[in-house]
Amino acid sequence: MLGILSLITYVPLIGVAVILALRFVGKADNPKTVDAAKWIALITTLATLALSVVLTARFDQANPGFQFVESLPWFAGLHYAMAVDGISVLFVLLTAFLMPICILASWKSIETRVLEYLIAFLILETLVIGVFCAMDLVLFYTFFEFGLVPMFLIIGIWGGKRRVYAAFKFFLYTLLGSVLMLAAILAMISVAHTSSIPELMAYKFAPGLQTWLWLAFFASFAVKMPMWPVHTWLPDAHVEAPTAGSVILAGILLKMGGYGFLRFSLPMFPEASAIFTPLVFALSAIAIVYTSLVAFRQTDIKKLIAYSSVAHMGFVTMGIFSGNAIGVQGAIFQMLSHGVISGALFLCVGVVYDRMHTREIAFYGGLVNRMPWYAAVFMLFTMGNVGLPGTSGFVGEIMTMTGAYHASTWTALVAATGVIFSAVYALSLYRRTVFGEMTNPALAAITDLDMREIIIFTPLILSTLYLGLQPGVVFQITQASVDHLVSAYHAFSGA
Amino acid sequence: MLIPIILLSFGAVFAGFVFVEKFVGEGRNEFWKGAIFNAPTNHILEHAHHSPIWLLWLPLVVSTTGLLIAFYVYILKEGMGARIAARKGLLWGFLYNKWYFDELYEATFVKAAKFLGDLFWKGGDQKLIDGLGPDGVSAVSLHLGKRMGKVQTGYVYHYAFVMLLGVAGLLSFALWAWQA
Repeated sequence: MLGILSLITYVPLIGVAVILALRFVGKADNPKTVDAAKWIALITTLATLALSVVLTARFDQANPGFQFVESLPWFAGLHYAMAVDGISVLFVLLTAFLMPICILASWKSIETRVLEYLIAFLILETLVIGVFCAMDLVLFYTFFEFGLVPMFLIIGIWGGKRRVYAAFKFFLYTLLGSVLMLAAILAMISVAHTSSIPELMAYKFAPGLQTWLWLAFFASFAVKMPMWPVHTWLPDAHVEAPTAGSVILAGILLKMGGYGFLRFSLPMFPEASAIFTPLVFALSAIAIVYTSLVAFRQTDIKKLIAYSSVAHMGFVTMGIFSGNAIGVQGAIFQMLSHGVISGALFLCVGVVYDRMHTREIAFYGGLVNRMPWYAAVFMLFTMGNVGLPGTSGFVGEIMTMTGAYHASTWTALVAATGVIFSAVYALSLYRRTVFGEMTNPALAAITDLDMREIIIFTPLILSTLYLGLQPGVVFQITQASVDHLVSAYHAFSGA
Repeated sequence: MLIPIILLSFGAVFAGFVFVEKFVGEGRNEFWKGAIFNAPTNHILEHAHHSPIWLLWLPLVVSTTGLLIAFYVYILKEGMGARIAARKGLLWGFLYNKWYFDELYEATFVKAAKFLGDLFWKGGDQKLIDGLGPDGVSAVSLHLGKRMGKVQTGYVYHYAFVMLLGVAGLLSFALWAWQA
């Protein structure tokens, strides 16, 4: 039986079909065709968003198990199986929420091969939602790997000057991790005789095998996350990607790593997870301090925000492997919050990049004199990035640190210094670009946010503040599933 | 600016009289309602209550002294402040630069953060991780590819020789396998 999850997953493909039809009927570079394609993409993504809102509203918060289950026999004993639980349902919503924003953000800044660009984005949406809904290991892997292709094209075709280098680096890093994961998947299926994720969660792998499987999955998720020291693809990918590409990359693709840890590593390899927790803690603590300091030294705005993403993901991995409910809840919240805030920050860079075509911090300065609305919006998201109470950034950081404190006081202590470092780089970026005298004559005619940009930022501002003031709405949804995950983890890991 | 300052100064002087009872007097338990929590083994408030009498007076004495010195330097002997500043003495410099705290922070925290940031970025990320990782691997495969490419000379006799080697190898293997 197919249901709402398949509907949400494949609605973007309807948009793809219509745009393709349009491309064959009209001329691809005809402004009317291009405009029509943009509207089709926007309407498709909005329809997906509407369906995701329905999904979240109909989601049974008290049920810790999988809901909206769909299962059809596929081939060779594999199943086309889809379902969501409290851990994944909000990521579906986040994806559907960010996609229309990405389409709007690309409205004017993408000028070549617009139809193909929109198609790449819609296909990416299908694949990412598929990752969060897949309940069969091979189906998950298919979505997970296929997601690389549109992102590779988005960076490689519509990117900046060094786009080819960045695209290859992104692809090579990610592929290396996934090949190891594929080997682990084959091993799991041959041992457990099932590829169903719920069944594998109940299966108890031998401790020795768990270690290998955990490492193989870790290779893939650590690259995606990205964790130190396999993070260097991210700054390059972000710098070269078009604005909307960065939004999706930071907002959603990174979260696939954290989701993977929660869906596979903790429940399927609990003993190995407990053994490797010190490693993850060490890497997370290093990531937080190391990349925050590197972020502080950047001269390119996008690179600075990219490095800050790595630091923020350090909090996520720390929270997940704290193995307690508050840490895991905090990690999920941090991922959702970072999806909104980092997406918004990349859009903030996009605003000035669209006008000036440079991301050099030194080029800017004194923007508040010409762009007061922009300064206010950028300020809010800078504060969110720093983790100011009242914004969503605060909740995730404080919870992951509380969770980690129970598991490893030292890790929490080091992570806490990262909060200070984040203020250092974020505030210094804001001061250098927005405050001060406007000395660069090139900026004299720069204009403030236009209507389209205000429409883009409004939902992001509202969610940053709403999640910061009412974080409970998220925990109501995640609570049951996280409690279930954590108690199962403790029962199996013996921790 | 004058009116807010006057209002605030009233508060500064008299707020204590109004709230003393609630904050530290008999009504304190009712007011704080356990908001200030001390473990049963923690007696810091008790100790604070019995601190020596000179310690209690010290803030008042120091601040009053400061007030009197300022009154003397700036109002009674008008122009004395400017003369002291003009001499740029050691003590004056120390006080004028806020005990050199900004310079201290600049020299320690800021310099260290910049140094470490550059070290991690250029040394760690670019040289070590990228150099050994993606860039290193691609450089090695390019290099190996070039070396391997040299085998393709285009001379027929080179290829024929390699084929001969292959045939000889296969034949030896077949003979060996046959025997066994």
